[in-house]
Amino acid sequence: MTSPASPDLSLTASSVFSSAFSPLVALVGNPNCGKTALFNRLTGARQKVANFAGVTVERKIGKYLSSAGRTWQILDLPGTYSINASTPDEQITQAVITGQHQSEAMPDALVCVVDATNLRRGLRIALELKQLNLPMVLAVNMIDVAKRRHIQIDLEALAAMLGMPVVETVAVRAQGEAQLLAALEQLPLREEKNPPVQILPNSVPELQDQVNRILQQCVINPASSSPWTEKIDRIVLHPVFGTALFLLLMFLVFQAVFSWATWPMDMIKNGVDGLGNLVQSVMPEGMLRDLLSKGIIGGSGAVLVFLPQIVILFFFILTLEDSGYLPRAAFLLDRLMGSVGLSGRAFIPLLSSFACAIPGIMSTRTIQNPRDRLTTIMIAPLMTCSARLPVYALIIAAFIPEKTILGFLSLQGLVLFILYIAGILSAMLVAWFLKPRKATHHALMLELPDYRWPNAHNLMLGLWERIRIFVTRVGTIILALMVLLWFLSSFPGAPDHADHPAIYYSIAGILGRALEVIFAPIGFNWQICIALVPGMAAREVAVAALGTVYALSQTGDNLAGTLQPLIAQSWSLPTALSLLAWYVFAPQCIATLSVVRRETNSYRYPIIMAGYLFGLAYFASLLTYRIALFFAA
Amino acid sequence: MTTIAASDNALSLDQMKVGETGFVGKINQITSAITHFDPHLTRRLMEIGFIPGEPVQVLHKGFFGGEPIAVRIGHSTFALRRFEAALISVIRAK
Repeated sequence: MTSPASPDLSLTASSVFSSAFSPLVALVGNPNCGKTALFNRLTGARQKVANFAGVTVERKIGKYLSSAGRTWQILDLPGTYSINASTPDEQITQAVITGQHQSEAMPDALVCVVDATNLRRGLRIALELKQLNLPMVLAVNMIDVAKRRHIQIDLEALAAMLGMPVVETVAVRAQGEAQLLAALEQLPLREEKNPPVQILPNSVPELQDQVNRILQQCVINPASSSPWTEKIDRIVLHPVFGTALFLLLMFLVFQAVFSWATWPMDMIKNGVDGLGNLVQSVMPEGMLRDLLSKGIIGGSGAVLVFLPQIVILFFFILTLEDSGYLPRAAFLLDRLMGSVGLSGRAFIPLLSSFACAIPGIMSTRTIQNPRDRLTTIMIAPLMTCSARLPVYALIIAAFIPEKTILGFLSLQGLVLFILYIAGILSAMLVAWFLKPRKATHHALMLELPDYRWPNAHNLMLGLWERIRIFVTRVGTIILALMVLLWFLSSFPGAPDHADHPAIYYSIAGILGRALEVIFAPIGFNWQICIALVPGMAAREVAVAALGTVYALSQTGDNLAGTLQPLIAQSWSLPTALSLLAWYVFAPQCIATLSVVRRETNSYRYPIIMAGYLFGLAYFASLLTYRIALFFAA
Repeated sequence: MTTIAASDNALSLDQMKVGETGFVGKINQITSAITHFDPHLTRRLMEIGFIPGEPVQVLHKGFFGGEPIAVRIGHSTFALRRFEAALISVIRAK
């Protein structure tokens, strides 16, 4: 006789599945509820956290292994105010959670993330999500902030009224996700997917009535607001003080980029020079030594030296983003941008474009109006991206004297500032040109979230991400191009009794001299023309290419670390200024053009973009060169 | 009980001065000119919190032409353009 197996009481709801089942959990919530920070906390993903609406545009998925041994997949969905979508971003969220998305699987469970200090709005979407009948947890996030403001939330009562598990989370603190993890393990999951559902628009006032009833029962002191935000805003949003503060902030950023970066830049430069000298002295003379010391070390070193400036620029951008200042800047600039037919919302993609046009162009998806969006895409490359910084920095350091004017302004910083402004002004001009001539009514609806202290952990992650991307580029694309360029610049060799350095007779030299016919009127010599070609793959490569070209142009053992004095000797000031003007427009970035093609789904706009940028660049350089020549004479 | 239209204190949000408080009355029907650009505008305004009965306060106005307008609505702050604010009728608090 066999006794029946006693049921294993330790079996939890989720452990009855095969261990291969890896449930997909989607994070859904309002913008600015800390959803992305929670995603970071859960998955350890290396991505940035922002404070303004709509930064979560990309699909972000991550995994974590729970203590129960299950691998969870976490999907971070774009922030939304309702499950009835009105922007392309929100449409993605709606399609995924209703199972109607073409390529995304329907989630097995939802985590609705709400801001503990703004349950009034957050619970509305929780009620909407509940209608989908998916296993669900409500994560009351930023509970630490709520507690500091004496907002008391009765989580048990909330769970009872909503009919779903409710946990508190602090996304910016280690272990702040512990309760959520435990709650997920307890969810009644099923391996088979729910069928797709259709949702009907809910009546917003009716939902709000329900929410208000719940809040009355479960929350004490729900009306408390951020004590600092209003006070700070009295200055930040003030027409005069606010504008002055904005200009001051922007100006300080550019001054810092130049003055703080000096010593780490010197260190990198000395390191690169030392390495080059070492290679030069220990290796036998020959092609390999030249390739290593001049092509690879010289070329990548010339770009790597700009890492400190890029880190400083991003430190400021990320800090302003995380603190909640950026939407305020959009508020201040809205009217000004409106005068050229742009939305204040376009400020955020455009500011991202100062780092790189690619994330900028991708974040235009939060702009609802197709025409506004297209205009923003078309002008995004006019914002000076960080890849142009090495070019600017090199030329400025070589040609602009290192002195202070008016007792406190660095002249070099001032020139850099002017270059950024030139980009912005031309962007406004182009936008104005594209502006529809009839009156338009485009909504702004820009959220001004409460100020927060930037989170050091998230800031470090963001900076690390930037450093990683930059160094990887130096180590891959830039390195490969440098090797290629070195070969093109070294073969065929110079004839006997050559009047010019060997590179003059090489393939690259021939190409550069052919291009010189087009670029001579704007003052570019054949060395610059050679550098412009690999610069198409990545703008900063132009600097590395100049490093290689000039290193090879030298006879003897001159090393690439000395590029700056070299160009200072061999270029005229008008040529240098003309190249600066060229880079304000810098039409040559293949990566940007390919993103434009993808985002607009047509070849038309990238072709128009390349054409107009090239035209403007040529025109601006011609003008700069001729005017400078006139004054130099 | 006074209707919104009859009340002396009924006005649209864009007419309120900085610092004034009130309650959302209703969202006005959008004109065809606006529908052309943003057919779901009424609904979107409600979704960000402009629901009848909610408390509002005008916090700031832009320097040029008094826009955008920063408005405290519920527990959030939003910046609106003048024409958006004009769609929201408000009962001014006394």
